[in-house]
Amino acid sequence: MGIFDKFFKKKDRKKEEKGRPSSPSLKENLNYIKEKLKDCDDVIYRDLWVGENQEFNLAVVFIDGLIDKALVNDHVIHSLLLDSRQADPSIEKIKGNLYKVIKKGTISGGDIKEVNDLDKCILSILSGDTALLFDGSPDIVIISSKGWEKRSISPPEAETVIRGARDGFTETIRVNTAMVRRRIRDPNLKIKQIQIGERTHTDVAVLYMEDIVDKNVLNKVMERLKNIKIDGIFESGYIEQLIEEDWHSPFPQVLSTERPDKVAASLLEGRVAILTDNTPFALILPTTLATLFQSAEDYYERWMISSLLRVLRFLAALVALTAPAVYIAFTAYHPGLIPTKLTLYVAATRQGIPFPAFFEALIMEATFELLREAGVRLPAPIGQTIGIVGGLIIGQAAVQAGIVSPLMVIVVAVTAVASFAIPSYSAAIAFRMLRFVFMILAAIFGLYGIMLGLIMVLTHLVVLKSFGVPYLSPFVEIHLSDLADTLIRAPLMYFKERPEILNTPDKRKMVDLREEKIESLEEDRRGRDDKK
Amino acid sequence: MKRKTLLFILLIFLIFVLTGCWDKIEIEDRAFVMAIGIDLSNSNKKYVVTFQFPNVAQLAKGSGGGGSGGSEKPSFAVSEVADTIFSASRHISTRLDKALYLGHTQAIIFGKEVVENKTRFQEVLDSLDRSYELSRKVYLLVTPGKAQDILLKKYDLEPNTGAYIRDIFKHYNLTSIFPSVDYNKITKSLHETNGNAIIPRIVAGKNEVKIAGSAIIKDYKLAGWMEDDENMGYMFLTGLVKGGDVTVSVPADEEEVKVPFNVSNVIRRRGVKVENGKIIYRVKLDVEGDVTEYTFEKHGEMIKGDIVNLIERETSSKIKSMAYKAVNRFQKELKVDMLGIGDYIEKFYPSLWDEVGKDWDKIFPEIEIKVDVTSHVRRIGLFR
Amino acid sequence: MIKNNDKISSNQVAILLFTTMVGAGILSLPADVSKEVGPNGLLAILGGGLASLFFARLILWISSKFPTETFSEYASKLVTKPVAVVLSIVLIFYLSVFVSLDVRIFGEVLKIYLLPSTPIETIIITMLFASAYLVRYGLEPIARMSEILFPIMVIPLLLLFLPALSDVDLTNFLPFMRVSLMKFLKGVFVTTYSFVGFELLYMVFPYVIDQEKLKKSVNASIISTTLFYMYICFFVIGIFGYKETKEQLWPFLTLIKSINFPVFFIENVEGIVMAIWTFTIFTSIYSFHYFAVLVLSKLIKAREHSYLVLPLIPPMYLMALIPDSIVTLYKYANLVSQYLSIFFISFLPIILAFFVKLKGLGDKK
Repeated sequence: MGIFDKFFKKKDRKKEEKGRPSSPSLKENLNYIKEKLKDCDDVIYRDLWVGENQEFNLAVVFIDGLIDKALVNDHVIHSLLLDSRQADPSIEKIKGNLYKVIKKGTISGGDIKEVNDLDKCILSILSGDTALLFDGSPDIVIISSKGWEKRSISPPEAETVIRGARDGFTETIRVNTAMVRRRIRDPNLKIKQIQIGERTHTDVAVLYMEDIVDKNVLNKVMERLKNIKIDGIFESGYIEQLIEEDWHSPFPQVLSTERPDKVAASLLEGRVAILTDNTPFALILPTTLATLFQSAEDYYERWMISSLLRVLRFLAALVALTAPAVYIAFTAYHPGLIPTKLTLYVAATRQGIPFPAFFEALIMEATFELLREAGVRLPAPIGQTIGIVGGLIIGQAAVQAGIVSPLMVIVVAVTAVASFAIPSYSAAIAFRMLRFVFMILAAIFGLYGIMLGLIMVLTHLVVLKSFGVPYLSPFVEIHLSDLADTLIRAPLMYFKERPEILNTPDKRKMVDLREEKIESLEEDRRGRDDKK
Repeated sequence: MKRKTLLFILLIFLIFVLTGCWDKIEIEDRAFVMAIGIDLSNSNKKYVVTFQFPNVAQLAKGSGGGGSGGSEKPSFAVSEVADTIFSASRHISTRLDKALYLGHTQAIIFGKEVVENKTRFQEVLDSLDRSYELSRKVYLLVTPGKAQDILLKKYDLEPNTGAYIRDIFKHYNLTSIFPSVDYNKITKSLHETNGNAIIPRIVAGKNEVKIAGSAIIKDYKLAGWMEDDENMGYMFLTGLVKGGDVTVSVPADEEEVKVPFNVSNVIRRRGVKVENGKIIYRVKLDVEGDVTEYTFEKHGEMIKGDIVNLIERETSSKIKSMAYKAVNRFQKELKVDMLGIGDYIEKFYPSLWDEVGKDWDKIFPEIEIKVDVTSHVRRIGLFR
Repeated sequence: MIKNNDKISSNQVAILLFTTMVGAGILSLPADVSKEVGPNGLLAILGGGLASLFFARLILWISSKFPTETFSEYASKLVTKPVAVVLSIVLIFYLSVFVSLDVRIFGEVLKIYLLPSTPIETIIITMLFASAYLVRYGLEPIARMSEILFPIMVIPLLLLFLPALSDVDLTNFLPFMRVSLMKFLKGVFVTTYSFVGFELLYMVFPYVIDQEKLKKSVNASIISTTLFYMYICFFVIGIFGYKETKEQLWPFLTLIKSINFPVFFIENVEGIVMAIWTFTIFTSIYSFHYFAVLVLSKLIKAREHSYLVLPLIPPMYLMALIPDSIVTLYKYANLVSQYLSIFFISFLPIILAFFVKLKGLGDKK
């Protein structure tokens, strides 16, 4: 229970701080803001005298670099200084309700809101809005002018597909929500935005389909998000780790993705998505083990190849988990279980290898992890070199030097390839880590050790839940209709209903084409009979 | 609570890590025995057990492409004198740099002396039965001489004798002159009939081994040998024939020619009748096959039919005579039911079996066994 | 962390029953029935299955009269409290004995086939701890574990034997039904050990969501268990013949060692079978373990069952080590299955049912 309790306690102790209300005096307000944003040299204060005789005193505050300069210049400053004169509202009219006139009539920016809390005003300024302060009115106009340098939309790097959309999320949350919105034009797509992080005030958007999502899950998500009290959120990984059920688990209980199409599809299944500002990784939950083996492309390709790939991925996971352990168990413990010819071959290739099988496997697996890590950290061109050096030279040299057996190199290579075949990177990490545990177990008990390991891992998985959904479902608490999208990907025709495990109020996903076809055929027949 | 339990489990786990690996023997430290030979010993210990295992180091060189492996021995054979087979496999480790591993044994060869001695043979069989390392798919063979002699030799075709024997068994159906029975079937037969079995015979040639014929075990003791013909007759009677050839003589213009009848399928039907208190066991064999050789000058005559009929008749009588040879051997000479007649009666005529089952050994030599053979030539090769 | 709500569905009960029943018994079952009824082993198993079905339904009927109570609670209503306490203690002992027997047989098999020099104590203790790790989390994960292991257990075994179909000699099942009725009943009787496990119906009823569907799941699980046993015995007896089968200690494993699998590139499927066998035993162990803990916690009215999981391990471990050899082990197994099992499977339900009728207890709708 630990961490949530701690959060609850904190909440009790520390009451929400009340903001400071703004005063009618411009000077006072400005002074407060200046005091708060002392030594922040990227803040720009622009005093304006507006009106025919410059009788109105205004100030515009924004942060350089975070705003859209053109917007502020053309639609705020320009409007106030020049356009307002042409409008010629008489002084009498303006006096007293200057604020209203300016807000409604002068500023031509699109998104405007008013606050009368200076702390909120400062937060808006820090988020990239422009604040417009008046003398003689406590109301502050906040003009949404966010416009910083951002990365353009590019293909998702970690989840490339051959067939499928090429756009991936960017670091800007607004762009990301727009990408989802573009895919689901339904008023039921709700985007609830909250800010998390006591210092970073990071925007976090919770996306769901109002009439599809299971309200229990949604409430659980909102509650857990609100309970997060942390100084900063820099990546959705923070949120993922803070809201998942079991943080001792090596398995990700939340799926992260860069693909808006995947998010949109998950929303329609009844899941909840969490988008976080400053990161292209969205979170999808509840997540089960089976969803970690799904790739967006599975649904775009024909079902046979998708099903084959699914089976392949599950096998890959098994290989990534156990291959080196099986090698150890068979060579050091049970040579009777492998075919005679293979036994002799393995024995022959291991002639003169100075290390026991376990150590041999450990060295090679560790080397591989080392190479992978080095390859990731280095710039791309050098990273490739590392791959070549590691894979070819070290492997070849190690075999020729007689330090490891060629079969071991093959096992390591196959394991590596298999671990990359799992679509979810974080799931692959779990399998890669557990592989070492299996190796140790195999070194102690042989095949029995592997079975013990499997039992342990399965026990863990069986206990694990993601937002109330058993992690291994639909393999447990079986719903036959859900099984069509797990080990295989059945023809789309079978996905008439949303996943049973998600307990969605709206179940129907698709009208069975075949039923319609039969009906229309019958109608045709009837029509023909009538003609006769 | 949870943390403490975790710690506890971790501690126990650690104990295993630090003390574990009881069974670990690296694969290169094992010697994979491919063939075992068992003989009786003249000294005070009972057996001479010979283990043969391939020289793995030499194999490695061969697969690695190195050419200099020729001088090394491709396989080793070591013998040990011991009281039991398994004490032999343990004692031999005092002379070897590797641990013997019997799990991949392909063949076990008994010397004639072992099979002749009932108690010894039973001892050996029991130790095989209880062994957990040995596969039940291992082939048992009997040699008229000493098993050691077969295993100590190196054969050019395949120096690894165990693999050699296994490969011979793979194509037994080309001849059907030795029974393709492995340890599983032999031990089954021994248990069911209380000590009767047929074990294939192996003889060592100069540079090869030959598996042909079989040894008849009656009451856990060697009762005699079966030659090729008898053996084939026996296999016809028990339905073991899957292929093989029957050579028959067919009169041609001047002299008889030998025509091989290539058996492709055998259908066996059986029946038991009791007439005047005498049990009549009837076997009907439908043999299908092709003729692929005749005589060169008779081209174009095969198609006419009479010759085919003639061949069919000749084949039938040949098979019949082979079968009767086997019947005579078992029924009259050895008085042992190796033809599965008792088993058949027990299964299909249980009430009859209730009468005769108890002293079947005495009744068996008295019953009448009738064999009918019909042969069909299905194909005659590519010439007319 | 979300607490598991400890309710399972009737489907899960069916699978839990199957995985619990299919355990160590499968190894020796073909030999046991062959010894008694010769070639009619399949029929004996069928008979055993039908008898089990009857008694399972009887137990279900009794516990359905008390839909919110487990064994020790309703037994005290039926047969007075002291008797119920004694019965509960015997039941705990009985379930623990099954854990011990299963884990010991597992250890013996493993020692023979995979780890000849590893001390059996190590194998037993690791298995018990693995079971404890799961049992601590309660019934819901247990049911899920059974669900996940069920296909892993059954499908490979069903497929594995198919290539051996050509080796099956159907005449091995002849002569048909030529044993005396007494012998046949004896044969039915010896299958008891293989069907032990449906006693958990005494306890599981209050934890089921859709209780009205339980009848169907009990039928399904016992029939499928019977069919599964018959499938295995069909191959074992069909290939070996009953004369050879009855000589074997574990004919099932011997068969695995004997048949040729030309389809597989692996010649020896023992590895696969041993792996599946580990799961098979594991499912039985944790199920018995959990229900022993459950009865104990109800008996002493403990709030949480999880604290009682570890304390039960030492007695189970020690009991598992009591038999000196595999010979005495099977002697004990026979004793337990012939007296305790028969008591809990058949006599107790009849007695309890009698009391239910006599006292007219339970809710009458």
